[in-house]
Amino acid sequence: MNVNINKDRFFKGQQAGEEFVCFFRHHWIELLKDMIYFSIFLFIAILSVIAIAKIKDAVRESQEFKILFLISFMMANFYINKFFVKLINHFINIGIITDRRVIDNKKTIFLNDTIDSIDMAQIQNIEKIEEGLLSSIFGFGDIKIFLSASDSVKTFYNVPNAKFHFRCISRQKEIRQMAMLKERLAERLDHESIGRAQIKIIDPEEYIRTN
Amino acid sequence: MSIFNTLMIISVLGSTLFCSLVVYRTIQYNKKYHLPESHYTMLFGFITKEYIAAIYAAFVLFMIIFTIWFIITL
Repeated sequence: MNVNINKDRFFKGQQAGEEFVCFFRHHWIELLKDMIYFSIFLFIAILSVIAIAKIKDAVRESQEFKILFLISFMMANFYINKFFVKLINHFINIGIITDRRVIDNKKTIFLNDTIDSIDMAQIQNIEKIEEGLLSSIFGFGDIKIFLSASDSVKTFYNVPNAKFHFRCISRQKEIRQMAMLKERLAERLDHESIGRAQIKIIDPEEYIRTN
Repeated sequence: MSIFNTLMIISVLGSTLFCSLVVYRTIQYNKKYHLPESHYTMLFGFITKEYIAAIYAAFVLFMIIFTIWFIITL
């Protein structure tokens, strides 16, 4: 039997025996501002390309215009690179839901790689927040996870289809916590039966039902 | 070669190098993460990071061609 089944199967860091459920990115609304600015930039760039003959004449004649053109060109270059890096960062910044954990993988292409993992068994409460007109129309929102061990709260911002992911985490949390409860109960019953020197096989589910 | 031309070429070369680095990092990321994409995870339902990387490379290529043409015809 392969004990490493599912290890690193869907993502780096996936544990052996851990089942991947789904993953999500931030909603595209986060990129809306950048897309609007890029559209304006593209419009200006296209106009410049159309009027390139006049620009070349002006660059030939005037030293100041030459410097202005150079600065604009370098800024345009920089902006294009920045915009596309931001787009790619949007794709690699993800949240992952498995049967054991919720993982917040805050990653960028170069500068950031932070992974925050929350065990389903440690989740006390989950909250879904959808506020505002855009959230209602596009179905995105924030998901807050309250941990049982401490006062800490983990928030996932601008989660697309927030209702679905909220239900997904709730279900996985329930399943995980029930599984851990059964495990602990089975262990306890084993200890008790050994202590009383009785060999009696007790079904944990039946024990829960009758007690 | 004038300073103007040199600076334009340096700018485009820097851009090309940066784009290559970004595409390389994206490929490295894809080797570690094999997450199943769906209509809900792609941007606007159909755009993946591979498309974005390809469009990025196309933009940089256009910048290279434009710079070469501009310098030659100036």
